[in-house]
Amino acid sequence: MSLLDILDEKAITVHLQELEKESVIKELLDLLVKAGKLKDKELAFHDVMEREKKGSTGLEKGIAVPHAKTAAVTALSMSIGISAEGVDFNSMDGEYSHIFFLLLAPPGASGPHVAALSNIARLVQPPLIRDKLKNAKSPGEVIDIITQYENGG
Amino acid sequence: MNKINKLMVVIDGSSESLTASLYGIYLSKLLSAELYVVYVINEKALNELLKARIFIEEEKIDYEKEMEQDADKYLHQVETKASAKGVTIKKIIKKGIVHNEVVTLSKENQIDLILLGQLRKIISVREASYDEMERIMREAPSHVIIVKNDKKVEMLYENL
Repeated sequence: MSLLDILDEKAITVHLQELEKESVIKELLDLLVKAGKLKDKELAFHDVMEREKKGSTGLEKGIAVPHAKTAAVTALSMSIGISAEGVDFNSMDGEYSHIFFLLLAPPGASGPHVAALSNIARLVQPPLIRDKLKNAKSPGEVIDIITQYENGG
Repeated sequence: MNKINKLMVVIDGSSESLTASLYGIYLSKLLSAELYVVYVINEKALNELLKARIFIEEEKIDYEKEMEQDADKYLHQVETKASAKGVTIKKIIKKGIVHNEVVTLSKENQIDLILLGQLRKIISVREASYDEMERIMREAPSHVIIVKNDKKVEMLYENL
């Protein structure tokens, strides 16, 4: 599957407001609520935080991929948030995280969940893509960047 | 005499692959051919996520278990459908790189015809290059049928 399948402009922000880990996660969940993809924000937050307790999803080079299996969604759902200031997400390299991909999957959707996470892992490998995403001026631009990457650009 | 003796359907839980399994049952009955039904757990993707540290070890094990349960569930579903038409299937679960496992199985079992579900419309070049079904189509040593038109296939199956 392609990330383009689950991208929704309404679930993207390039101006994340919050600066604390839990608040950022709530802000990313709010994007999914706004996009009509999430009914039970409390349950989703609980499930995402349960996963975070086992190990931070703050990776290296400013990327974070909070994710969870949760009954709060009925389909694979993703929100993207960009933070100019950066957030202390307990990342592996100790650096602040700037680009967030929140991914929620309903139980029983392991295959698509794994595929989507693999796609995110590949997407954020090239430094140029990370730079473009970090400097994106609008949700539309984020979609354009991902679309170009998916089409070999 | 040249004859189609062995068919193999690759299922992944998608409705398209389950349609392909119905067509496999239909052909198996028609041709008196053996029907293999295979589900490959994409271990490569799981290992990639572990290596990228998006997954922790516990999570990888958990997802792998769930994918095994999915495999059992979908293979059982096909077996029930086959049994209802007097067809016996050989169920196979493999773990690894999907297209590699299918190609290997095809060679090992001398499969005459592989059936795949309808391929998704390609919405990105990159997705196409990673698509496992597309790679099976290109690399399989045997003929490959892409099964389409789920309504017609259901009718063929029902009328068996």
